[in-house]
Amino acid sequence: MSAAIERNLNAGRDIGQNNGREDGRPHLSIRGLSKIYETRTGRVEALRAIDLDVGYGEFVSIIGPSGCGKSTLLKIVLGVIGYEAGQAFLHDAPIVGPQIGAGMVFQQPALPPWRKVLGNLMMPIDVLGLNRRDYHARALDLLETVGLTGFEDKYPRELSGGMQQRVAICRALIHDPELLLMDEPFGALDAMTREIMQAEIMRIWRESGKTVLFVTHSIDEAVLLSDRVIVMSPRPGQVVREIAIDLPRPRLGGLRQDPRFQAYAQQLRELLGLTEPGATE
Amino acid sequence: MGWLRSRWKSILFFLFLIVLWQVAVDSGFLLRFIVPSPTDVLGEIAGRWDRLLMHLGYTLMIALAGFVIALAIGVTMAVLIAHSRFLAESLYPILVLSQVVPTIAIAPLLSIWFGPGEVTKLIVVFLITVFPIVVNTTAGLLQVDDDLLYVVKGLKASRWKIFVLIRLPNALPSLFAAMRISITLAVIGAVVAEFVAGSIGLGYVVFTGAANVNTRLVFAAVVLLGAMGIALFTAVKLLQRVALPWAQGTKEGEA
Repeated sequence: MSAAIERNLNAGRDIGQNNGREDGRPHLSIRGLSKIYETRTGRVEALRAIDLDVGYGEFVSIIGPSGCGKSTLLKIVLGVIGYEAGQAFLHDAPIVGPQIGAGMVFQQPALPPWRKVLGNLMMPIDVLGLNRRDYHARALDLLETVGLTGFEDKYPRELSGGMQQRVAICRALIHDPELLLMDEPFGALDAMTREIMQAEIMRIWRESGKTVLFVTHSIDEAVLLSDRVIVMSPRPGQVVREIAIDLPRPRLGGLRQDPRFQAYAQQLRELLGLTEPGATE
Repeated sequence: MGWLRSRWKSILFFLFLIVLWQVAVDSGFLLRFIVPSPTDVLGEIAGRWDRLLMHLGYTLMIALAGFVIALAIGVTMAVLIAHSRFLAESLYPILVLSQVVPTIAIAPLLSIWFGPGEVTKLIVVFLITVFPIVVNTTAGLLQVDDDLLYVVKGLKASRWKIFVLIRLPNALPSLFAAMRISITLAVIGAVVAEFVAGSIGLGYVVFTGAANVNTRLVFAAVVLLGAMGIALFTAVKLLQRVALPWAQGTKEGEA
């Protein structure tokens, strides 16, 4: 187990979210997981023999070329698609079927346009058949943490892309899942908004103590945010290497100038085969 | 006032055409008994107002009733088609067949089977209006954002919850788009039905007027039918604005 995991396990304990951690099991545990799609043109092997552990309160990024099965892996963890071989556990429960203990954020906010911001936050509450009134205060708190106080009665189309994505993050957190799954959540945002959102997700993660599994195309983003980066190969997706990012927190945007940051980025670039002179992410 | 500001060009051009028409008839360029002037038509409408109003009321009732029946059955069919591949495969061909056979051509047959009364007319209106409703609503029910579906499936949403919370509201804009098409088709259907069956309604007025070469009466009925079509179309648009405030601003406002 890496130093980063240790540290974050401890960080999680400090926050007080220690349910199920005394037995030393990781939050998410995947062993020998394979996924094959049957398509009209034949079988496509999306994932091959994936091994992955994510500790409680840890921030882990998955990086890899397009089509390497990163998104597929997140959907398997969410329990909305199946897998052919191997095992996947959330703590001690095998992942079979949807996992309410996980919240999902995609690249597109996917907010139903007919629901106002507050209604969108309440979508999971309605789906789960819970009482909206019990979650009203939490919804307003979440909106406050992302700076959207006063926007409860706006329709999604009245918000900018960054604001819509903030709403999507709040929606993923409303029912208080312990695991946050993020599939390139900032990939559709402009560069400036993206940096602001990176700072926000680090703050939300720190304050909430959630475990985050984060898929990204951006080397820079992976190094900045993560405790550990999982590098995946082109299809069939396999884990090439895990790299612990041992940089102090809280991390600010200026950390990008730090030689240690750049060394990690360079290491990832090499692992992803982007080593030609001048080649960047 | 904003309405006037955005439309004044088309209103002005419309008035210009009316004046041109009036001058063409008054100057003898067009023969008055073949093409009556706008004032002739207005005079005809005013002179026969009571009778025409009765005919108009009847046609309006047929068009609206047929439209509502098509709406109820069409939405139900769309739900069934979206729900089950089996039903989609068995219902769709019949639906398409009902569309490729011109309703106007089978209207006389319907008149023989069901008599010259309201039943025949409602069936004609139904057949002409149901297709856009089924096709559009089905598309709206099925074309749901995949990511949104994953989000709610991850929360163990049942098929019923997905239908009520996502598919149904998702289909409303396409349903209203279909309603705008169908409401004008409903007027056409009612007129066609009145051509072939019965002795009442504006369609009947047009038919008999033409048979007697009473062009003033035909024009009067046509103008009233046009006004009815515009009124119904506008009513559906206003209804959408009230019912779906979230779906505004994409068609006219922003473009």
